[in-house]
Amino acid sequence: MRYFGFTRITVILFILVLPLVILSPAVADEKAPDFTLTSVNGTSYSLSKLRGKVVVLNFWATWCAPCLEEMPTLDSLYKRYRQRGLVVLGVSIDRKRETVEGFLEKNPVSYPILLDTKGEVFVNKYTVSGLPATYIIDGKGLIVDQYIGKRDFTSEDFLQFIEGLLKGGYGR
Amino acid sequence: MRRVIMIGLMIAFLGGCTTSTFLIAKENDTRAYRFGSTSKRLKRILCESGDFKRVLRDAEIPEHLKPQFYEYVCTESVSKEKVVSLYQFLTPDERKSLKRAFVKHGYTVNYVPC
Repeated sequence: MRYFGFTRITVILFILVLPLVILSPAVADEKAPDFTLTSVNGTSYSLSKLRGKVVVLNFWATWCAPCLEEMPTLDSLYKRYRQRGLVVLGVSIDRKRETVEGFLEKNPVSYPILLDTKGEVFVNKYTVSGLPATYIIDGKGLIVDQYIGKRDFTSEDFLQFIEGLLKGGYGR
Repeated sequence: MRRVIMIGLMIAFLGGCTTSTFLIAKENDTRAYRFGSTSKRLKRILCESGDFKRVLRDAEIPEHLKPQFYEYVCTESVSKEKVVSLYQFLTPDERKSLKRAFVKHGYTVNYVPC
């Protein structure tokens, strides 16, 4: 333990952490790839048709526990801001529509749930590297922030960010 | 204070470990590689030997993903990011099946925290 003293361990951990911080997926001002997907209700959604609106794009799956944990806060966010033009799109990567329908019967949400059963948007367009994944897209169609992992969408920090975007700014 | 800093660094380290696949090593080979690595040596072991085709043939994953896995692991279009994304797209059962297929064809699979 003397050999691996506090300072040495701290330095090693810092060296390990640094690349993760530098390489963290904080993409700013990258154009959001366009896509068209169908919701569980059969409605077609194209990202390009939502230009001018702030879009929260959330990738999830019924087998992803952290995804399910964050869904209620995403639903609260949508209910709070939908009148002001916020769009929330949940994109399920489950293989079968029935699986998603069954889940939503027990755990309804008010925002649209789209189906990406083949992974065309998840892999080919966004190349998502983990679940849940959330992309914040501004009215110009630019990705202004993205997160991998569970998030509280009702946190004060996030609400301020969304408020800023809805007012036409970056919010941060 | 030291403990707080250490815990903070550990959380930051582990918290950043969300984008991963798993380690594979061919039997009798001392080196292990992360599945999706762009290592030329791994490409020789996995692709030129024909192993990866056999692994994909036996893995119970959606058929339309198999050519994509092959393309991003074994061809000029090799891409670590695409392999990670394809792997993240798999359900837990499909991931297990892929790992079992590696084991069946002589690979040791190691589970890593990130």
